[in-house]
Amino acid sequence: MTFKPAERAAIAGIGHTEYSKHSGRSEMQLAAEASLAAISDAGLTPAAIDGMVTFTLDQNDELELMSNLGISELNYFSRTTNGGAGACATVMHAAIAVASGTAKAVLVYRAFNERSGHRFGVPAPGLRMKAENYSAPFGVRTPAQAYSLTFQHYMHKYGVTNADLGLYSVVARQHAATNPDAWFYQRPITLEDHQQSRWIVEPVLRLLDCCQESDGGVAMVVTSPERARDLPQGGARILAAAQGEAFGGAMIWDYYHPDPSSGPEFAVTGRQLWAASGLTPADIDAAMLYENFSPVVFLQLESFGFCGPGEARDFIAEGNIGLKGRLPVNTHGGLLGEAYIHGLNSILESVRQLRGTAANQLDKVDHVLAASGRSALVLGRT
Amino acid sequence: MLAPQPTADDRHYWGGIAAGELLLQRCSECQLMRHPPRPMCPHCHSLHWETFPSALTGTVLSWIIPRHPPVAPQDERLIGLVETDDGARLVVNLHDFAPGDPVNEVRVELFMREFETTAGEHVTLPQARPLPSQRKP
Repeated sequence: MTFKPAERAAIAGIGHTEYSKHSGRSEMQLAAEASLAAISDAGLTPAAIDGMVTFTLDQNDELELMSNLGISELNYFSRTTNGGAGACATVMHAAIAVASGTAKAVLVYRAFNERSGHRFGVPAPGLRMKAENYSAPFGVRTPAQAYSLTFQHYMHKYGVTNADLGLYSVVARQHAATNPDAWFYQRPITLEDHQQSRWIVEPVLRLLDCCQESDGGVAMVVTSPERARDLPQGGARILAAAQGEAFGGAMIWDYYHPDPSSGPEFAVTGRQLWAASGLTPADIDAAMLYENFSPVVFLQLESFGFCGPGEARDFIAEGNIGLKGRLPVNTHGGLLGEAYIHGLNSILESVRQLRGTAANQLDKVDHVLAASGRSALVLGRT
Repeated sequence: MLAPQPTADDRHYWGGIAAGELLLQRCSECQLMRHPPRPMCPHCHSLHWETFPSALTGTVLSWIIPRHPPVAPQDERLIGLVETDDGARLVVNLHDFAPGDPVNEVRVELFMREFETTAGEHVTLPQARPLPSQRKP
């Protein structure tokens, strides 16, 4: 089954707070500020919002956000699982609500103090779910450690080294260096910097392979394509939206697929995207790929069909993902360079590229892939 | 370090380990092995299951050494994803590998070791080391 919302749903508004390491205010305030900015950007007032979608992990209650924004009624609200891998699914849920007539204008939001408050990179004091019984007692305590057991299999299988992963980090920081919103604005790195950064998980991830920990809020409004078309700056048509899971999967302890180096979930997502949009990877002008860690860019380039299995290293090394490349990737600097707002900030960059308002604006942008592994969107101009 | 927190669906597994046995789960009807333990067979949907002792041999699929947050040298751990010859995937600690030794694809044997947790409890966990035939002289 594929979902083709193209004529029935669009991203009409985007908003975000500054990206920092210490916001100095509550997560709810960040959510309210980003949401109001997105609603205003869509040419709407909060009274027009009748739906909300966020992450299961978001700490900002829908009711409290309604009370801040003065939203009178909600017809639709849902949350997406899988952490950052569900980032693009938030827009899919919103688009389904709009396309089905369940809601007219859905607010998508994610806000946290993920650096000054609860940090994802710091081990939790205890076990939280059954799956952790099989990893935490053995010393797998952080997302970097959990994912690296699969990444290392990938690296061994295809002969990919940590320096190869650094090729992506250099590009991400190069893009961030010319994006004033990015935390690492004007701070590019070299491959040597990457190789001198400390190990986080040997022999897979160095510090400069890891996303940032950030404070900030991001929001979008999904509504009718007509509303988006009426805006002076336009919006983004949702040409395809997809989620993917596959038998044997596990969230971040994804050790049980026949090939543990690359779960089939990304391919399930990709297959639906291309079927629904009628496009192929060759039609994509830019890709915003979720990267909590650099290897996830490699896996997505391969799973979504931009290159074959094990070929991402060469694809990146040949210059394809730079601003002048065949497929510019994470033109805002990604989650390594701009900020880590759980991946939702990368969808904003997709909209900016289509509107022509990105800091690193590309020349010709008709189709953008926004992907977070287990969910993804193909966006087009309104 | 943390102790496992057994649930209704995997208490038998951790109980076996505490008694020094790696007991894997299989369907009583169609005999399909499944791990981690869960209540229903995904093949025939039977809720009846039994356990069998693992052969305790397997192959390393991947490995890591966590470096952050920093740990004291004596707490440094080589962690491996091992596939047992019974077909179960287990994250374990790897022993008797020297720095620079190949780890991927090495044949290992599983054994049990008792640890003391941060909370002062004693907990037994499956561990792995190269099979005698794989060890350097």
